[in-house]
Amino acid sequence: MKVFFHFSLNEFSNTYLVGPEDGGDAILIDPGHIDLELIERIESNRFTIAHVLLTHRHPSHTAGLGTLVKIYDPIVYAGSPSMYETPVKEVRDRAILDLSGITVEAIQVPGHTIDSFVYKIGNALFTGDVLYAGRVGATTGVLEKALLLKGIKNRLLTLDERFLIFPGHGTISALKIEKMFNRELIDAMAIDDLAQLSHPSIMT
Amino acid sequence: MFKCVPCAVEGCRRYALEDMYTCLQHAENSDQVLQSLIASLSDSHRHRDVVMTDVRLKDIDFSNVHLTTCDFARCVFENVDFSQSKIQACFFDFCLFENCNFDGSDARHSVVAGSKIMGCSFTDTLLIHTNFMGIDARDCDFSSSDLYYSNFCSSHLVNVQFVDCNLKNADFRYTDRQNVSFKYSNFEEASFS
Repeated sequence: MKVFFHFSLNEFSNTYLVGPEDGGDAILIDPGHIDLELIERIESNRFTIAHVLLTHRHPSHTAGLGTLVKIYDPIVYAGSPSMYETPVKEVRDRAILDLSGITVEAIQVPGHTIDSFVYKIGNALFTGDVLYAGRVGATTGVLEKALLLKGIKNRLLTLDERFLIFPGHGTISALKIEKMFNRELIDAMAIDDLAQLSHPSIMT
Repeated sequence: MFKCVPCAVEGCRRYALEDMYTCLQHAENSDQVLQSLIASLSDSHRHRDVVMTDVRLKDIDFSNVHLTTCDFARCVFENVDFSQSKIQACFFDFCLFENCNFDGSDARHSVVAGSKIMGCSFTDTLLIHTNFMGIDARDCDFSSSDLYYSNFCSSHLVNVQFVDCNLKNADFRYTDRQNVSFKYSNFEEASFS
């Protein structure tokens, strides 16, 4: 399996191209912006975009969808199908998708948006805006933040710490690195530990 | 992307080498395997998905190497020359770099987080989108480098030069800095808090 990183200057977002070694049907994750460089990368690897995975609804991760659908006609998967102008297949939490032989597990981690998903492919986690290198996703309120941290704690930090992290913005990372050096996460988990001592029902 | 196939030896948490069942440490003739890996990496061909973790490399010339999506986690690099190399999306997390030279290299989208970096030179290097979180760097020179969108969060920097660097969107939050110079660099565009 090949994984390619594509950086879009449009809102500084990351798009990932995942496909088989010798070309064929590939997956594009978060088409924030489709430009010539990305098209050349797809074509030079003899890929056809058969599937698109959207981590959440924000335009910096979906704005290139219209262009992409005109060129490749892929099947698009996302958490909130009604949010998009193009036909989208709904993804459910814990769904296991077989996308042209590549197994994808969908993990719902709401908080940044209600439809935020992390996609697990092999030893890689495509975290969208749930977890970045050194940060956790932005939220609109304290309840959303609590929901996001609970999701990260229960759904991501329980995975093998050798999992690689491919976020929607910023540098790539690994779960172990985030556990050790992501100050926002460390602070939140410390507060969570304190909260459990006094109010066990809040975040457990 | 490199495959994370566990080493076949029970209890070993390392990954197996490419096309092998065990990690380097548990391979038969591990010295011979290591030498052949080094020889193969040293040529000018493009290498992809190589897994070579927990290895000690000393006095090796890796200048002009082309590495893509490789895993070199927890390695020790002593006096290794990576100058003019092209390193894309490679993992060098929790490594020790001592007196290594990355001058003029293109090391974008890589991960060096958690590493100890001593007396290394990264001048005139393209380090865009590179993860340096939690590094412990001492007596290092990043001058004239492009560090666009690179992440130095929670790192400890002593006697480190960032002279005339592009620091746009670079992240220096929670860093502990002693005698660090950002002279002629656009540090206003980096994040410090």
